[in-house]
Amino acid sequence: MQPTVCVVDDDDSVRRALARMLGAHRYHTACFESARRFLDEIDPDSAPICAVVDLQMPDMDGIALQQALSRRVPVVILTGHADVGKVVQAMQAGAIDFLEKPVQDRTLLAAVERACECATEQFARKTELRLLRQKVDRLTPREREVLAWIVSGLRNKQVASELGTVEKTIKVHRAHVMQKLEVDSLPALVRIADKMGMGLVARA
Amino acid sequence: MRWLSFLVVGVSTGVAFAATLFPAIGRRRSVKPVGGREPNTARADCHPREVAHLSQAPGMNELAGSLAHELNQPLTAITSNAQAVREYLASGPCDMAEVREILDDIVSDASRASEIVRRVRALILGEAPTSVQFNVDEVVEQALDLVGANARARGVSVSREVEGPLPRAIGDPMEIQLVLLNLLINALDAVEAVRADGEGRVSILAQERDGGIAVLVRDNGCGVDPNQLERIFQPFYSSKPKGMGLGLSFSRALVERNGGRLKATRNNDRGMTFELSLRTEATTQHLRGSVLPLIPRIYPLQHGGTSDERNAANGVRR
Repeated sequence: MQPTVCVVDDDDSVRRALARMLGAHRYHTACFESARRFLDEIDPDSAPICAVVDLQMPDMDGIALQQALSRRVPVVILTGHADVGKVVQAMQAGAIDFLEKPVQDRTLLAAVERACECATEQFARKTELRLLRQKVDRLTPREREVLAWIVSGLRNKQVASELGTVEKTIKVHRAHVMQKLEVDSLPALVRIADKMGMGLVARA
Repeated sequence: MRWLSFLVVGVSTGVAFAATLFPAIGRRRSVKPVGGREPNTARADCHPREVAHLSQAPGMNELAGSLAHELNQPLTAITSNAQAVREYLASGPCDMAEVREILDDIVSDASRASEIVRRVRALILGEAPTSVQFNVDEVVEQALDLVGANARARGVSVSREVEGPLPRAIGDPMEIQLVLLNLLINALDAVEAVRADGEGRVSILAQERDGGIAVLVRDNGCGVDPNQLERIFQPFYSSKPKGMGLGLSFSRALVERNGGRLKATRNNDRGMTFELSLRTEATTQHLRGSVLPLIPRIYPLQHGGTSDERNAANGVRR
């Protein structure tokens, strides 16, 4: 899925020109005349997006927009006037790059390419997590408990004694967990628990 | 269409003033654009209270930022449009209608950029200012009102003297007021730099001289090195740590286009005196019709000139 490059600039002409230039290099683009509009209309969970944002805009500037996004969307900041303070703020807030207008196509394209890679990666990670979340949601509370013990390295017999039951029951639970999470090995199970941040249970 | 409005900046930042600007000002929170009127009328209508309001506007740094931003917008559009066309052409046959549209945009952005340049240039060098007869006392008084709070906050006493009834000066009172504001703020900066609280003095004296009018702004501050005296009027020369060095060069340009002169002298004891000479009816009599065509009309200087409103204007600055 190709990421969409969102151009956020209050100047019609600049917006159009940047979108054309990126379009000529076969990027998907979308234009927004204000930061507010962009925030209202985008949904970074449903498709990969990155943004090329003008620093100086009325109402909400590029830095404020970046803060509102809290790194959910990779951002390239453009400015007509680079102010050291602003550059630092933007980079600290995780900007991919901070470029001075008028920007050379090579420079902007390189930054946009990095932003797109970042967007694709972020989106893939988010999608994977969402799918995993759906699978994990199928587990019963007891199965989650069993999973947490198993991935912390306990054998079935030990888990049974922790949970005050017999090994046979744990084996059944374990089979259900593997089936619901669609995995066939302990390492795969551990990886999932890790990704989902399913904390290991402290041993009593 | 976007266009320039006139602005006084930076009293609070220690940069004296910078006059100019652009449409972009409309996009900045703290400055009001003067919308919809011709630049000249907008300037002439500029109210003392508006000056007070505008002087709280962002500092010189922001001003430079606005200028850069405003010029870079059309340049960015032109650059990116041209690069887009180049890429279209390189990648084989393309839609001629689209290419034409892009070229139209390039042309229109180029005129937008040159319009900005033209306005800045007109402001600094050019278009004849509103030339009217005005009362210098009133302009001095308004300038003092505007810096009053600033001076009190710095513990500097500012005194004022007017010698006898003065003839009416000729020029654009708004521009002369900007120059006085700039000189007063410079004076405050200069005394603040060297004088303990309460010892700093700035005085402003208006007097008739050879039929014209001289306004002297005197301070007992740090002064200017004798061999730097002419340099201080050059653009981008500044003795202040945060100064951009435009205040005095702008001031001199404004005074000169009003037919006056601005010069600096070192006081015998301490500090500096800046002398602003203005034209009057008497000094321009022999020039009439030859050099500077004048539009004789009385400028309604005292809009909202009741003391209450002036105090209100002061209040805005505090």
